[in-house]
Amino acid sequence: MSSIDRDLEDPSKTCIYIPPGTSDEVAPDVSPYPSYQWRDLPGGYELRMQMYKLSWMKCLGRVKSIVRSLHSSVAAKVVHEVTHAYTDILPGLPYPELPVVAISAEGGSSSLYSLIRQQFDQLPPVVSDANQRENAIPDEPPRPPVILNHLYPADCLTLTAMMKAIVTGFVDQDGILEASIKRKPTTSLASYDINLLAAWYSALGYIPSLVVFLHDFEQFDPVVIQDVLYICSLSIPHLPLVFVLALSSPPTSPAKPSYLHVAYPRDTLALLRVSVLSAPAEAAVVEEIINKTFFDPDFEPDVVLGPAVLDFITDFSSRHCASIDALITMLQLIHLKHFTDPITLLMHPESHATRSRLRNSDARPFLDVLQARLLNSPGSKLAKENPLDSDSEERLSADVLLDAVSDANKAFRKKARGIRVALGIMRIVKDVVLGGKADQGRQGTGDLEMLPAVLRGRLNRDVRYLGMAAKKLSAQKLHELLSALHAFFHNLESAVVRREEEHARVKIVSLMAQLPEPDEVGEPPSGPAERPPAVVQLAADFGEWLTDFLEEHFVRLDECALWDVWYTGGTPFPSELINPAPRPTAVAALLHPDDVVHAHAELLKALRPPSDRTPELEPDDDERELELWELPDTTILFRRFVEAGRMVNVYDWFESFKVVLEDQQRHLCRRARQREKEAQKSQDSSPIKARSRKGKGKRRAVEMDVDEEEDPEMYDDEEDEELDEDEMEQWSVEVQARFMRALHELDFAGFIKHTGRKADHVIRTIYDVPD
Amino acid sequence: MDCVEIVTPSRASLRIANHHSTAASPLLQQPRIRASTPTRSPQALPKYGRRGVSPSKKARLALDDATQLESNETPQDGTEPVFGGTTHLRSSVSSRRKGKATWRPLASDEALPRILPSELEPCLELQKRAILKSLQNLPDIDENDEHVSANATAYGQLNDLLKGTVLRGEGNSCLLIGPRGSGKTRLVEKAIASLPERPIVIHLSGHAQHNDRLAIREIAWQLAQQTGHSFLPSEGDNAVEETPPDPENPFLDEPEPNIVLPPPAHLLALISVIPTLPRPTIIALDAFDLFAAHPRQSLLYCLLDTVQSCRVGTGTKGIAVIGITTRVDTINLLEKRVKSRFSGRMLRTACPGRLHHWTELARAALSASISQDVPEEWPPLWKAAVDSFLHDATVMENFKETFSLTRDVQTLRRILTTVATNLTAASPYPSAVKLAASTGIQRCPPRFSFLASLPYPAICLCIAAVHYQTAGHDAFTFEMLHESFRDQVRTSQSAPIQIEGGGIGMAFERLIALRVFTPVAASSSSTTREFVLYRLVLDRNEVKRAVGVMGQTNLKKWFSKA
Amino acid sequence: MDSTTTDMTPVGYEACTSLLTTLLTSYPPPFMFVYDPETPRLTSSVVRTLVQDLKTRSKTAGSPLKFASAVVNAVACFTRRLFYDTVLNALAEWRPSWEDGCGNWSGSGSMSGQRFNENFDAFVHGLQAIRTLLEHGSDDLTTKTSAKGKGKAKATSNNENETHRLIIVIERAERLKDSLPDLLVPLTRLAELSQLDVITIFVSDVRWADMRPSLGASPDPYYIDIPALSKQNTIEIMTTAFDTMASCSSSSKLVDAEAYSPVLRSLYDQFITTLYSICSPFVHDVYELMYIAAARWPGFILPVLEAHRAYIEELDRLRADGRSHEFDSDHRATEVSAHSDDEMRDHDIAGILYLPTEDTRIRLVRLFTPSFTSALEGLYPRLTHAADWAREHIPPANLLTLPYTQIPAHMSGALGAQTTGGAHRRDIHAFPRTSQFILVAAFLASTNSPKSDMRMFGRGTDERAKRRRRKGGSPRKAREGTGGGGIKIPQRLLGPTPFPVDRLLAILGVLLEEYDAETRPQVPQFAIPGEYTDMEIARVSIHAAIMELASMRLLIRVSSADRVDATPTFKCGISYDIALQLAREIGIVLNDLLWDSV
Repeated sequence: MSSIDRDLEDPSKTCIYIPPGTSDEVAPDVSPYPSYQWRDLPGGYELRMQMYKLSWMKCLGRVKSIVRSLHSSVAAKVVHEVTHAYTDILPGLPYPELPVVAISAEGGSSSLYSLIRQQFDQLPPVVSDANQRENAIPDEPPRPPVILNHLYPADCLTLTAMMKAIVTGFVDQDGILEASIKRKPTTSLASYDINLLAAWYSALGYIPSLVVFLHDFEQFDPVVIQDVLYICSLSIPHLPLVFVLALSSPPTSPAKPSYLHVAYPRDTLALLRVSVLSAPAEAAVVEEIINKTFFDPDFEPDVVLGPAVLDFITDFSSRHCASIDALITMLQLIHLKHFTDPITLLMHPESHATRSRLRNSDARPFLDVLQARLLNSPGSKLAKENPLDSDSEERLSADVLLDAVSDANKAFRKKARGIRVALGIMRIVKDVVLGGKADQGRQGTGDLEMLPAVLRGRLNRDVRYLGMAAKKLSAQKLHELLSALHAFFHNLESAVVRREEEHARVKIVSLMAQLPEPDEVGEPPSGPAERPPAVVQLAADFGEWLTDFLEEHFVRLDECALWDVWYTGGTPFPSELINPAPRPTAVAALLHPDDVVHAHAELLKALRPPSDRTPELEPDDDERELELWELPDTTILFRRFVEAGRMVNVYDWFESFKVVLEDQQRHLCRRARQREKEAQKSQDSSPIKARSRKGKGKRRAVEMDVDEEEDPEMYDDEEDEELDEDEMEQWSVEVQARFMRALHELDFAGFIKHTGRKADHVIRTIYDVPD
Repeated sequence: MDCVEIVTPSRASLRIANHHSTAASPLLQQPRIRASTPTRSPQALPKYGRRGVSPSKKARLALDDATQLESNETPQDGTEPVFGGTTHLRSSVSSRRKGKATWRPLASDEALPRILPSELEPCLELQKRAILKSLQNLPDIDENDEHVSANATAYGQLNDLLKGTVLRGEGNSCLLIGPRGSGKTRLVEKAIASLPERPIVIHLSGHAQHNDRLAIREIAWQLAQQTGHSFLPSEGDNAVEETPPDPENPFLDEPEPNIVLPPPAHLLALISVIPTLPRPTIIALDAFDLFAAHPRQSLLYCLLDTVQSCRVGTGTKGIAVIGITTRVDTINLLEKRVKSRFSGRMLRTACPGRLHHWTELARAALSASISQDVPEEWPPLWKAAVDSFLHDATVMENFKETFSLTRDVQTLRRILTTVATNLTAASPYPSAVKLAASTGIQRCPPRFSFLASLPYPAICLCIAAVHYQTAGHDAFTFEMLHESFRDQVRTSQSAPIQIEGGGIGMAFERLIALRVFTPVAASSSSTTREFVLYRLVLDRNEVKRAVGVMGQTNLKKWFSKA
Repeated sequence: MDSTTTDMTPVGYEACTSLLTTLLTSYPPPFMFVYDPETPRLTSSVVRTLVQDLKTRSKTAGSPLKFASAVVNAVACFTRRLFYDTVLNALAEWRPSWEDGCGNWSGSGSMSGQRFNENFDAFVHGLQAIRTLLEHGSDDLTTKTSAKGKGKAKATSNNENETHRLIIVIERAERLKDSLPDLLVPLTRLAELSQLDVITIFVSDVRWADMRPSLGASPDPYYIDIPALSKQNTIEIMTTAFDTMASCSSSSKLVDAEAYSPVLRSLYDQFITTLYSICSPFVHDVYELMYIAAARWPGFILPVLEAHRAYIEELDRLRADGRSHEFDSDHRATEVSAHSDDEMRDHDIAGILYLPTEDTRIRLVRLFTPSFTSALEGLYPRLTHAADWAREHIPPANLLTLPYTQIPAHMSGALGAQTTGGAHRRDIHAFPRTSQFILVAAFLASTNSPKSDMRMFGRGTDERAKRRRRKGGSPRKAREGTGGGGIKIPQRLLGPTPFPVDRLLAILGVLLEEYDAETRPQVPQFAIPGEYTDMEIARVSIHAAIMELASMRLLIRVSSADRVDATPTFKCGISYDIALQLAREIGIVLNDLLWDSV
């Protein structure tokens, strides 16, 4: 508490965490996944988190490298544009143009800009020419060929401010000129005077190009920018300025190649030489990442994505937001969620740490569960070896089990690799056979939709279709295809895959050997009708082989033993975590708190081990719609609020609330009295105690499963319908207190807005409330 | 008169001489700055001897002030500021010799030679320069008709006033009221210049000194320039700390948001010093009405108060405050306490009241005499040219129009300047055509001279705008014009295909830049450019004319549908 | 600054230059106003050079009239202090150097160290100080570069009887009215206020009448109107630019080294005349025409150069083979640019570039004429810049030998800058589906009046599921009623109207329910029709998308962003046709949902 007080005193704190009052609320359960504990091993959570970190880092690194490779071309182009801005100029122009590079990339694509920045840093410094080297200054300042100056909309609100930002951004950079001379504020050039920049530049002694970065350019004020560009265009080329604009908006139409053309008049554009570069479309990037990370024969991810997750990612990126950051977040979530399952401890069964940990005695229950699974699973050879039914008492040693697990792991990995290779081949065949060049763009997206089908093993029709198509191939098509496949196998990096797919490669090579060179066949262009018989035979052969190959490789991964260790399978994506609907949820919870409570209870029940699942919620509770008085204060208040008009008169509100509360109290008394009758024989309670606990009890009265045992005795012997006056006024005080509390909760939740105009009225902020 | 004439240069030379003797301190150098032309330099004197004509002689012949002013400039003619002016001189001399041989001087009544004989061209050049020069300070015409002119009386009164201040040490204040271009400033200058002894003159202008603080500092500065010792140590200091030199503040040079008046102590201190100065002081307040707009009019108050309390014979020197303004009601702008201290003396100047004053002015300007010696056939030739020019009926008509529009002499000056600059050897004489041309440019230039040469899309936009006007929508957006333009293109296929490629939008921007379209409301950042509302400034007929010049039948048809 | 025009006064400007010169060298009016609506940039460069060489000439010749001039730009000098500094430094020819702290010119000699940029009076004092500087040190002005060795004002005898004239030229003077309003009047009266021989010249493309201060506070200037350039003058300016290009050899990879060789001058003239005849109805500005020419010429001349190169190689080969000369000649007869007379033969043998024959030139012009229009289309609005355009429109190899049938499409000028665009290019159609829906909804919200929403989108709760709205019908009838002032102008022409975000969400909900429900992944728990959509439009990603679009200015935020409690209001930022395209992509017939549909 004292710390909170200190924080509250401290003006520098912008945000202060006030922990929930521990007075009347149950302390939250600290252990993160209580529901799993029955089959987890102690400390398993931490172990799994270490595992998670490893595999996530592996995945993330891969993603990042892919993104970099995607962005590198754009970055290189930017750097080239900047460095050659003043060297290569079209002759015959009436006047020099101010070079501007407009990069249109999505708002938060920081990776691109950081890449550009580091590419600038990697440019070789300008070597000082000979005469300077003679009178060699030992510590000569570095001479970057490009000097950057980053500006943001906030510091460019007025023309003066922006010019100042530009000039000082260059002039006050330390390390460029060794000692910055003190300037007298009044009698020397103003800090927003471009002549100051010119003086500084001429003092540099060499001619770097000055690059001004304008980040999220759409937010700048066009009026200011126009003048700035004009002023800068007056002082080129002896002041080689280059503007780099970071646009977040894509070009809207051919008539408007960039936001610049939308927002700025021709007079301004005529001063510039605008070259528009645009980063690759996000959708394409996302697809590329997915393919290259999880379905690339050369990369083996720890966690293999399941169809459900893939479906979600595809849908989300095509529907809501296809940004790299969003994708990374989703992948990380998937990893996190995956590693919540204790079984994922076996991600790397060979790893020494795992084995030693599992040899401990306290790992036994975990191993029992594992054993049961292994014996039940048809895939594992452990089941074949000792064909005794799963519930046998004798326990296999940790190592045996772990060996079995690692066998399963190997099997799984192999199948996964097979799928990836098959996918690669399938893509190639599609491209060649179905002439994929035509619909390059669409085919890309279709690809992402194809993946779940593959994993669900629903691809046989396509495979056969491909086989048929392959049989009809003409000679040079076939030649082309075979060479492509050969190249594919040849370029496989990972030795393992190459070994596994050796026979396929051999097959291809042999086919190629048999295939007559298309030119010496003298292929007539008129279709496959009159193909030389050799080719026909070959094509048929190839078609057969292709079908078999694909079919034997496209298997369902969740048929493997212990698949759920390495494979997310059918588990859905926790979409509410990244795309929640806060308002409806809050409203629903306010309207039907009981449903929420039930749902939570159901969840708990589902996660308990089957052994100790006690039905503790009496069935009649579910269907029965609760009376108003049984609901918490806030809900009561909210119900009334929903019925009110646009403006709510607080006093009427209070009155209606009071009515409900009195009703509630009556009911509670009645219930208490009948329970009193049953509890006659048992000890009776002192009314004082009861009265002292009344307030608290009443507030809790609604939490169904709780208040039964919480305060069984709601009993005041003399309290029937009428109360004496001090109880009366105490009661009214209590009602007021509860009203205020509930009101404040609604207020905090932002459901009401206080109007300054009308006394004791508040305005609703939401109207369309489903009931 | 003569003594003024002869003495002025010599005294000036004396002053300059002892300046050179003393170390060049800023305070001593400044007067040479203020002597705006280097005419009063000793080296100028010998030239009189070298050059045949002596200005003083000429000045004795003509006893009016114009020639006096002119002769003040005369030495400058010696150093005629033209590149290789000497060559002109030589050529003219030689031409005279040749001229004797070739053709006899013609009398003024004869017809002028159509094109100028080549040997006279230098004369024409010299004549042009002379005209331009006399245009720069127009000679006064004393209208020798029944009543004496307003300016003359004003000059007389002002002269007496200043004499009173300078000689008898009076404190005087007066207001000089007259329309623009009626020669107020020149009057004051003249009066001051004609004073027997040289007072301290302080020029302030309501246009430059926007508040009293600036005015005070400027007074102090000018005093320092003319008296030699600074009046501004304290004032200067706290002025500096009033505007702390803050480089971070980008609005360093914006005026102080709340106008800091110097503490009245300063005002009083500085202004009450004035009468104690060794020489009498004349303070000329140009744009007097703007001073009246300063908060609390404290400057005026202090000045006039000092003037009022300046008694003769108290050993103090005189002080005169001359307010110069065009507003007739300036006196009403003064606060009560200020007005009560003002003498209420108001002198009025007027523009020339009759047309023939103008023509006289024109004649005087055009027939300005060349200071260098020219072949004797030139002056009569030129005189004849000017006469024929001024007797031309259309010329008189033109003058009449202009005169009825404005009596501002500046306009006449501008018109004649253009006429003079257009004199070439090919057409050496002023003519009605030249006059008309220059009047067209200088009197009130046409607003949209470029209409005829507007590019095709721009004309289309104008037509569309007219259509909307007739449809009852004065304000239009770009989209509206574009739409109707597209319809027009669709209906009549005669429009060029190229137009869709943004050319039309460019034309729209062009018209905005040319102020043909003016925005209806102030621009806001939330409206995109193609939806800002504009108004067409042209009226229907102008557009009609432009379309006619364009001569495209389909455009004509389209326009006629409006 | 303008490389092509600084050295000579371009044709068409002789009148104004001579006028200015006579005035400035004799008795100029103190305040002049140069007005040129057509080519202000060219004009100001002309004035600049004129003033400049007036000054230099006055320095070199021992003439008694000395000039000091300052040419400033009213846009660049956007504060008073900036204006004062720039003008004074220019007049004093003072170059602030970094080493001594970029000090301004601060008076000469013993009175140095003053501050002249404090206010207008200080500025005037500065002018007077400069006057003294000129009088004293007019001869060491020429040598001086910086503060060092200045102020030793040796009053030599020759500069006693000189006149010193200060000229201040202000370009883009119309901006003074906005940026430095209270400097405008003093500047126009500068001569009388400073009691100096100082001339103020405004150069602007706006009439003085449009910037004249109120109450006639400043005297009317001496007007100098620049007449619009005639056709001949324009063409001549452009062609003379060719000579300067030819003189300075450019090392640009974009252009063939020989593209501007003097031999081709007459061909260039032909080229320019054609260009002018095509473009002049739309553009008069000579700079724009030069820009287009610069973009087109390299491609235009390339075939000639190629043909010539090919011929030279051919020639060398033949020489190597030592073939006979006549074979050479008749072989050459088959050459594209056929030529038979001897001097050309000599040229060939020498391998010198020569002018192609007349019919070749005509052929060239005919081939390239359509591309002129496309150049105008692409370059005048600056959809692309000249270098890019030139790069994209390089004619195919040996174009001259191709038959007309094989002339590639882009020679006919159909497509300009649009060629740059791949499958993976970002554009508005690659947006996520929801963003497209939001944009369409925003367009509807901005175009339809709120009153009409109930009729356009209102659905009874019972059949809230699919129900197409009857086409046509009510809107048409409703339109006759609203015939207020003259014809009714559709809202999409008047511009978008702001709408609260709630309304946007409501319309979005209807659109999603009717056009998107099928494509959604099915979720069991939403039984009630429309419940799913209600949930969807309340999701975080929708609001995130709205904010994203607002940051792209595709939605324009009207309400201030810092007010949190108020519901934000937006405007639609996309045009009608883009909205149409988007709607088509997501299967919406936009015109059915527009209140006043087209």
